[in-house]
Amino acid sequence: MEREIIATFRAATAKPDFLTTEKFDAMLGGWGVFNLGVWAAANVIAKEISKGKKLKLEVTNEPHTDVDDIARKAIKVLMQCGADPANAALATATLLYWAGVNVQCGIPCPNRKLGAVARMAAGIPSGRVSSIPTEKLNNKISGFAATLAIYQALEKEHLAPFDSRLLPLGIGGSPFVGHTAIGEDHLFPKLGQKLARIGTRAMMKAYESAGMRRCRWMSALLGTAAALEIIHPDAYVGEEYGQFLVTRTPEVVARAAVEEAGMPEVIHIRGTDEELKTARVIGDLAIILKDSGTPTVVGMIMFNEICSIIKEGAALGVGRAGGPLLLPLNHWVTAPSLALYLFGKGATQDEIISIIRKMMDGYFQKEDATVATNILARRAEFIERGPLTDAIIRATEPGMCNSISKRAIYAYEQMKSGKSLTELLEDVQKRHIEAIASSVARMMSKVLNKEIEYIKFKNVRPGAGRRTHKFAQRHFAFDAYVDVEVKVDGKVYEWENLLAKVAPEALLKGDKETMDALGAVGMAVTELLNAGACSMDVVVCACMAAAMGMDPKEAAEKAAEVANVIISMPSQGLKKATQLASDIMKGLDF
Amino acid sequence: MISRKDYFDRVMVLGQYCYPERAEEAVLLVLSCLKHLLSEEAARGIKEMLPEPVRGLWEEAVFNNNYDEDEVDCITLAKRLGNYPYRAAAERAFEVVFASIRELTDEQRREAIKTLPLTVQPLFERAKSCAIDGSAEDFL
Repeated sequence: MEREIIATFRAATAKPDFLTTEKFDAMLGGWGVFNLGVWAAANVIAKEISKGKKLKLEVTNEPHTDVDDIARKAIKVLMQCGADPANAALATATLLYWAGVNVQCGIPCPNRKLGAVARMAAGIPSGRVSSIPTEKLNNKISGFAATLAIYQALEKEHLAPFDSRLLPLGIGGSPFVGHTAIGEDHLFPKLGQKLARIGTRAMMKAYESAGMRRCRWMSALLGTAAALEIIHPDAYVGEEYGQFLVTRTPEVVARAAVEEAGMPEVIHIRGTDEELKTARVIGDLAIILKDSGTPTVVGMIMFNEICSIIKEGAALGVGRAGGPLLLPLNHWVTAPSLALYLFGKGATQDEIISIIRKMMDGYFQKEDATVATNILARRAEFIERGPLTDAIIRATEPGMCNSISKRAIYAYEQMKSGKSLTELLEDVQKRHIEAIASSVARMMSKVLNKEIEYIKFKNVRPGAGRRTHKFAQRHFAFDAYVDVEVKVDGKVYEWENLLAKVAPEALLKGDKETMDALGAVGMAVTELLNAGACSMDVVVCACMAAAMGMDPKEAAEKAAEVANVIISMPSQGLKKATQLASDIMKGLDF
Repeated sequence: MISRKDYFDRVMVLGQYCYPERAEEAVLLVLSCLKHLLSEEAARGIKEMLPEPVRGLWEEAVFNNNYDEDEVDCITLAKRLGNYPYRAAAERAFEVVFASIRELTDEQRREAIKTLPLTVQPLFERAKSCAIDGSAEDFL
């Protein structure tokens, strides 16, 4: 093995954040994210499972259970990683849910609900659905839309299935209604379903009115949660709605929300294809949301990303980092969440490893996703070691080593044959962009059920002309210029300056044909804009240049200048990595 | 005696399956694997103890796809034939079917049914917690 290759490999992988433009240390302050806290909390929960702690809410006659204890420990580590207490409570409840804890159990006392368990462990007050924001999807709305619509409907019409004025004194509010046919067969399910439909519909309308695609997932969740805030949230229901001791109001109410939102009846787990009833999941998570307190937008981003183990996530709006896009790494928690789910189900480490690897197939850029997952797992180990990061590192380390080694060998051979760093990176960037185009064309053909014959990026560079600031001229992410040609179902579309000119014009004019066609390339452009999430192509080339004698600072600056699309924004790790490559090279005495 | 449809509906609830077909698939797979690994005498003995409609399903249960005749572990066999993503998911299928049988049998029959292959005997015990008798006990 050539010394330059060894030095490059070691320098590029020496610290997890050398392979990304992301700022990992800032992730630990809760500023915009707390995903490393989620990785750590998942490990905490897994370790508690290993100790034999019981992951079940039960009607036991004791003040505290194992779940209370685990929740406290998970919340503590989340808050140490910058999570707001309400966000920590919601993340903990959601992780525990996917680990296998039931969301509710009980009679009047004890009446245990997972969201409330987590909230009380965090020591925070309860919240209201109207104050729960949605995840930021460019803009954001809140559960207020659902609550407002529901209360307006309650004011305008009579929604209960009977005339409530007929309820005699002493009967209304008693088990006479609540634990019998009146409540369980009629009032709770019928009213709940009406309210959930109204709330879900209002959420979808609000999304669209605020310039966003409707998020069916969050609309159904907050529509259901708002309904559960009014009706009995954990009542048993009549047999026509489900079996006794199994089905309660959240699932029944969620059925209406799921239907209203146009969600599929069944969803699947990534990597395993296990089937889950959508209404069961929505009902369970809605009651968690209702009881967890008042999360912030950041908390809701993490909530969604924890749930991104749902395979249909991208289509339904359940998180965004589970694939196929390579999102900024501050979103990424799918791997620990999935590993925790599997761990809770009793999967072995080897089985978890195999499934995590399979999950990587769902990304447009599998190699980059594998490296991204690996560096996050390695960084998370600084906070909390555990069986999940162990498994995820084992799952991704071979892929990471393979990717970096291949690139290092290629860079070495190219530079040895006389190519300059500039020539090498121009070639690498071109290949990277072409790889994204072909991968997106292939996968989106299946998704859109169209034949996307090709996507050709003809000119991709910073500086689309929207901004004059020098910074925007240098970094692709801030004013991206894209010329692209795409052939969809036999028709060729050619666009110049897509992001600054074509897309806004088409959207503002309501040009549906162009916007539909843009659906075929939109994800590829997004991949380019997010390319810095995994910057291994640039880092390896720059490190090789430094290892082969180029001044490390100059290598880093030249690499950032040439690879101005795939590095997309300034990278702090790049200079450190090139310096290290140079240092290592000088220290190798064989 | 409950009908096959009602039985599969109940298995569907116990296993939290999304479709009745999944319940049917799980039942037939579990019964096939058990039959395959039991001696003829033991298989006959268990059949006598099974409630209807499970007894009829036991008679019908056969493998209709390729399987490893030399496999001696019931769960491994089921995992492979049922395409379960991990071993615990295959164990869960046994637990669910055993829970359904527990619900339809009395204590005496349950004791007799315990002459199962060694790897699945603990699952028959564990199934108590998801059978209706188990969850009702939890509740009380």
